[in-house]
Amino acid sequence: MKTIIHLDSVEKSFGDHVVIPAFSLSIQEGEFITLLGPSGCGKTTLMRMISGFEEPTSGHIYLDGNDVTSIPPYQRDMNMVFQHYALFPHMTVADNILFGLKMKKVPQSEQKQRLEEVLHFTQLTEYQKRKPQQLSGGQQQRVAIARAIINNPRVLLLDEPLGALDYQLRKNLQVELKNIQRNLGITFIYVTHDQDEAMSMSDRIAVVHQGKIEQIGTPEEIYYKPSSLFVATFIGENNIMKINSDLIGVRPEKISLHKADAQAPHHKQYGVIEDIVFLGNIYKVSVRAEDDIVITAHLYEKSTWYKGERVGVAWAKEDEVILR
Amino acid sequence: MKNKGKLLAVPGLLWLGIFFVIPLLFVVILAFSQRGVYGEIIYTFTLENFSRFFEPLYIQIFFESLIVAVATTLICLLLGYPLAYMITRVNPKWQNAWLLIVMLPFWINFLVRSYAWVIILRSQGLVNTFLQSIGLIDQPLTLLYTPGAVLLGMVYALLPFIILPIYVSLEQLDRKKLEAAYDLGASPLKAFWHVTLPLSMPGVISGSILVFVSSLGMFVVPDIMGGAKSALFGNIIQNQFLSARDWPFGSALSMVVVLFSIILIFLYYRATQSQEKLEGRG
Repeated sequence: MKTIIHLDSVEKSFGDHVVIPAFSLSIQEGEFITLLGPSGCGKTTLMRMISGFEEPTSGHIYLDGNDVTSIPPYQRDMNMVFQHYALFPHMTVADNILFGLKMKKVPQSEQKQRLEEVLHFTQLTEYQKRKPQQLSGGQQQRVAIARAIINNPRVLLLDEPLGALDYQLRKNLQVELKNIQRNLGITFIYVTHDQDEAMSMSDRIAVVHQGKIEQIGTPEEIYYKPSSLFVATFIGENNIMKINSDLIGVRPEKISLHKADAQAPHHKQYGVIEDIVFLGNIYKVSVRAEDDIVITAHLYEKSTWYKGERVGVAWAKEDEVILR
Repeated sequence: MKNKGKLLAVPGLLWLGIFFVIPLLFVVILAFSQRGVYGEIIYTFTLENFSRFFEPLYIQIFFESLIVAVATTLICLLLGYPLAYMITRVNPKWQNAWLLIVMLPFWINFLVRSYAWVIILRSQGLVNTFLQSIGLIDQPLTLLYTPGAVLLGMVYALLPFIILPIYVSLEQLDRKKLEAAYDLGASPLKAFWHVTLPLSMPGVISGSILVFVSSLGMFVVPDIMGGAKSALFGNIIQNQFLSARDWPFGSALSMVVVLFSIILIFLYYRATQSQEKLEGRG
């Protein structure tokens, strides 16, 4: 694996206000990396610095080993899929897609050939003569992707590309995007606030919080080994407990309930069942424990548990994560 | 509820009816009437007034006015577009100040402003005295009562009418579309040419029509700044109603301008509608 993008102590401030404190990050060639964080966390600013729309206040950005920190976006060998697609309303689908090749003065015959390939690949061939406004949201999204990938960029930046679409379409396009990335071998830098999206598509996730990268790792690492309280609570559900002087997190699906009088040496807490909610695939059981904290357990069977029952709460030592 | 809402439109409709439709009908009737020996109006039906329009003198003045109107529109466009563009790019808190400056002249009577130009341009005016005092010229230049002065006055009077519509269409333009163009390899100049300009065409077209139609009927500016030599179509019409006392002919000439404007506006709507159809909004 080869590093394609390297951010070297990049920092961004607007006036006196530091939006992104200095940080470094290396992105591998062909990788699908997601910048995940709540809105306003700085992930968009981060992406805009990589694409060249914002210049970092200090630090350097390298693309393929070349310093591109001050290179304008139209001279960087990467393309972006914008949040609301930003298609050109006065051009047909085909002209939208060809825009990049025309700007680079690619020969006509090659333009035509690449257009056909990309239209076929994104299943837009029959819509090529239409204007973007005549297409559905999902089709517009595909035009935006086609318009970017026809340029064969080294890196594709995607800024909440599925944010405007409804749930089912989003699920389908997640799969499509992942396939595009795998088939073309382009490095994807993906920005989203949707953890499911990040989990299902990424090779690595960088969790961004208040301009800082809190943790970077594979989806499994992020989920099972969160390194900070923020990551532990932002990704999925978590039970945060103070045991001795340590703050620990245990995932609800790792929690088991037992009869209070059962002899089980691994019971860590005792409490009273406060609520049982059926969520379709699981039962969510809330137990008010001794220190007045609520521990949530996800169970596949309701068994005989009832509200008000006193129970023992248990989990395995290896499912505990100690948080900073 | 529906009908009550419609009632609100009655005062405006009455106003339009009394002060716009009826006078316009009157002009239409007059245009087909005859002038009596003493300037009185004889109500008959004749096309004579319209056939007089085709006399070489009037046709020539009409085409001269047309050329002045086209020149005015082009100059307004060349000056107005960059200014409107600049206003959309400045810090938002200064935008209103700039728009105020653009509209400020409207606060002063148009006639007064036109005479102000006379004071600036006449042979003992500001420009000439200044140029003489710094020794650049010996004799005062003839600035006033020239075609150039008329053009200057027209552009001065009509410039805001083109700036505002262009400003509006540029302001509505989504900056992300420009960023997309940059991202796809367009330099700022190319992005302007391929994205900004086409997307601001509705403002350009409606502003141009406003300026063109207004300058075709303009008579105050050529009167005050053009002197007796340069009569435009608006002056001919004005003359028919005042000194020549030929109201029927004046009405017929007005009708020509109105018809010409209607044709232009019709063409504009057809052009924008086909544009919208292409964009899928039609």
